[in-house]
Amino acid sequence: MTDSPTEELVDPEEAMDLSPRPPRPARRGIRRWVPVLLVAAVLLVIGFVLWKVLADATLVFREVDDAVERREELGEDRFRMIGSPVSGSPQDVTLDDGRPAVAFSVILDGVVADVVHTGGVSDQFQPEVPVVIDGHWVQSSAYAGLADDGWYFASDRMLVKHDNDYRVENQDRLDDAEERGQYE
Amino acid sequence: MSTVVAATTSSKATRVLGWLTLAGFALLVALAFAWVPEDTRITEQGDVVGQFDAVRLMFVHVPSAILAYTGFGLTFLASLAYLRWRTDWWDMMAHASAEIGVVFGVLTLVTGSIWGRPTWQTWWEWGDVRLVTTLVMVLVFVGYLAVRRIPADTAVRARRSVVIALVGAVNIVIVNRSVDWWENRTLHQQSTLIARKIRDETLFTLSFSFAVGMALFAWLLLHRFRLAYLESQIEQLEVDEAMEERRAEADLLDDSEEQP
Repeated sequence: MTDSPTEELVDPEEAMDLSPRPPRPARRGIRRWVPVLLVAAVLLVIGFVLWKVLADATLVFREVDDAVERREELGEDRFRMIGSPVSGSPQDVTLDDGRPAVAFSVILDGVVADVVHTGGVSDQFQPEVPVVIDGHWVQSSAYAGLADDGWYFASDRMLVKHDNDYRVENQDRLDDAEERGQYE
Repeated sequence: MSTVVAATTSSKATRVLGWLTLAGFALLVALAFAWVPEDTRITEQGDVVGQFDAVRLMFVHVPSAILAYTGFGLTFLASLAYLRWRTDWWDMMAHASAEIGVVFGVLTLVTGSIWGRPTWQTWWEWGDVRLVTTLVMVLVFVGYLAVRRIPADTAVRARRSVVIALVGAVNIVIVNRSVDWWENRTLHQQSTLIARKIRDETLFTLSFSFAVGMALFAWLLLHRFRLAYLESQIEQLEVDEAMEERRAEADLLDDSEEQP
């Protein structure tokens, strides 16, 4: 018996190659690494996001009453304050350095604070719709609003925190306002 | 033995479901723009306040968020089922629902950003817990899909995927509850539906948008699952063919040995 019977019985041209096949070369190039790189990228982005969130303690909103109560302690620290604008349009004022600003008062739980704002005013700036303003306390009588307590909150960024109320009350008054052209 | 599989993900039922979804979507657009009034209220002082026309984005944004939760939640449940029964069916179900969850998760982020610009005065707010936890939730499931692309044995791949799905599912709860747990770290409003602070026309249209969204989700899931099934069948056919070839080679060798 020979070591290789097929060589004797089958035409070598037609014989199948039954020798052990070399393993397929691994997928080369960047294609093989794409999923691994993608996973690494996702992990990096998640890490970046968490770092951004956890690193910035100023992102917590202080309510007006809390911010007023801790005014001395907060000093000139920058933080975010949330409160509802008191009815009435913000007043145009000019700061000591000549910059234009708007001034208004915010209220929460009966505590009022005056605000001097140098940034853009949101289109959704409305009485009773809470705003989140980014800034710090200034002890000055340069602006005396509704609070008139010798302090104002100097802000340069305004965000609106809309509530979750989509009900309509006083539809008749709303219809009257529409007829008067108060809104379109 | 090879299995004969129809090379389509479509069926009469999915076609009917698809057309119903399309018709439902057309009706939803009509309701949202022609029937639901803009969001306005009048204060005691006579100021007219509200979100006005921006409120109409709610009919895409809110169902998208619910469907993202549904997709990721289904991935979680299917992953648990895989751990229990270890069948490819559950693994494919987890994969299909994760893909659809990511689609709706991205749609949630995009529509939320578009709504946030006129309403909050910002496209995006780093540090806002609702926004950031939602982003992390979507990224975790993008990672889930990426891990599934890493070449590996199907059982190994399924086990890796299960781990990510179980970890990612924890964040679903955090995202949903974030507006209550960290009220002072988010611009996002609390649930309107739970508080029942919504007018009838808006509530009806929002409920209808959930129904249309669920129909779309079911349609996508059926097609994506069947596609995954067909892919697995093709893989199996290739394995079967390779085995047939090797058997034929072995038979030829046996015949040769039997000949004197």
